[in-house]
Amino acid sequence: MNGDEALQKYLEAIESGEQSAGEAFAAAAAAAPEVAEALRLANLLKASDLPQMRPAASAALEARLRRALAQQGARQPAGRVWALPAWAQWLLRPGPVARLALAAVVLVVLMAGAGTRRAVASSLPGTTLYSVKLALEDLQLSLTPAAGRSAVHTRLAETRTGELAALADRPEPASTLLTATAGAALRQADTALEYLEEAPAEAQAGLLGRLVVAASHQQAVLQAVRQRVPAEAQADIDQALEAAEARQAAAAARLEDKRRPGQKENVEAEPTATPEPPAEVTAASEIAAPEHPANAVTAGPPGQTKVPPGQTKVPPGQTLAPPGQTRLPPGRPLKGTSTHVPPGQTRVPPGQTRVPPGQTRVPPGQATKAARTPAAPGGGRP
Amino acid sequence: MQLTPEQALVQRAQAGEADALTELYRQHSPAIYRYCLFRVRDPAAAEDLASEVFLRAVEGLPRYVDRGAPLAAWLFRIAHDRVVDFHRRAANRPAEELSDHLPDHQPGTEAQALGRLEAGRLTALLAQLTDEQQLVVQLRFLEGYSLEEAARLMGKTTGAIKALQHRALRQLARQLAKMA
Repeated sequence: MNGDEALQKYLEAIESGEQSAGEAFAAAAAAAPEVAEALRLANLLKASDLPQMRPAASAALEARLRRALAQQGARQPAGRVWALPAWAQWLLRPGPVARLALAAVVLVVLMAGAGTRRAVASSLPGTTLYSVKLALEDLQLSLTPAAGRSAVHTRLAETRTGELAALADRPEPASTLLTATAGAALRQADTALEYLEEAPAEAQAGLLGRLVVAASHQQAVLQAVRQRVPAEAQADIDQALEAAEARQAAAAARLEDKRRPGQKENVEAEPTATPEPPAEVTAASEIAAPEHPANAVTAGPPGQTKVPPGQTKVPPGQTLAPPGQTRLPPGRPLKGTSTHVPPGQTRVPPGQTRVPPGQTRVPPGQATKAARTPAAPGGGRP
Repeated sequence: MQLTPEQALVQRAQAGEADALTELYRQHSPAIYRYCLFRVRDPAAAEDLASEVFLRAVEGLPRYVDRGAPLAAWLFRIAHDRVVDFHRRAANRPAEELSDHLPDHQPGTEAQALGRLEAGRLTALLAQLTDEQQLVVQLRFLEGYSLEEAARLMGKTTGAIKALQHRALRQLARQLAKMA
């Protein structure tokens, strides 16, 4: 037995309780003094005072990580709060076979009874049916031409906002679910803004007005729920509030731009001029449409007048911010905020490919072997 | 296939569950902090690096793929990258900015007399080892990983770990003798 093996044998004898440290050291000293010295040092190390991160720093980092995770949920594409089930992911892959299978699934759902459709439409984040709802939304988006995407994303932003309000109505709302849903709503609003220029000119102001109202509604919900969540969750809610304010400012700034002289006629146009998705998609969208109060997509905050369909005309000098609320958050400029991207958020312009979560990018530390420094832990893995 | 508790936690964290992330953080942050500290020898800098490690881990979590190695292997790899970056940045800073952070090397503390190493001295001692030797000592004798776990985490055979830990301890013994 060489020294390496002998040392390990004595270490294991101590770890298993077969020998005390003293007995193992005495046995090693009799057999191989060099091994005994290594064993003594190993025991010295095991008994040493371990350096620790300061508790305050550790707690602060823990809170920061929770916020980062909530924000990250807000950055994932397609308004997804929960991952789609494997079957839905497979169906949504590009390719003729998956398309046919997806069409069959949608057909089954569409042929299902009104009760099923209503249950899917009114499902909330955290439920099984919610995955179906998201899958159908993804389907609708995949079949919507670029010119109609801003309208669909605007409607989805309103849907997420309605879900947020429904979640907030629960007796004990989960702050993580609230912030994730608020993030999903903001993400949809971001995408709606990204595709805005693709929409018909006469519909753009109407879409912007709806986005301003949705962001304002979110703030009202978040502000109301902020008092009811534990103190440690209030920072997350504050962050979601800040993001909603930023989106409202961005949409309002774009709306102001549309209302500049020479562009006023756009503001007065009907939003329904936005191209509708293909017929089968419209049918699918009905499933995710607002049958549940949670999906009252064009409703403003409680107590606030709903913007009637087709009435998106904005009086001169006003935006569509709800009554009683500041049109723009204090200190936020009207101009130049349309390109504002809050920390941690990423915009993907229309026509560019969003990196799908999980597949094409290599996470930090999971670099290819060739790119690794030889001394890095883990050898060739993971 | 049955998921290990850690795999289940990772999946829950990937689904956005903050409590699962917190649990993973609490399990791994002490070792990651010490990994950084033993290499930069500055507690404040080590805290900053540990923060960077976990924030990057959260960022990469949706794309993290379990390939059979423990999560710690991934975290240590991120930590390694952060430490390398720290030293690269430090190399571009004036020397006097760094000198304040070096711990003293004075031997003969009361703790040592009692048969244990106090934290500052342990940090200074480990700094004398190679990166791999530091890691094997940390995993095996400070963090309590078994031989097999350390082998999986470092991507080596158990035989290689046996040899590495023995060499590391011999090197430490020489350093201690020299410092005494």
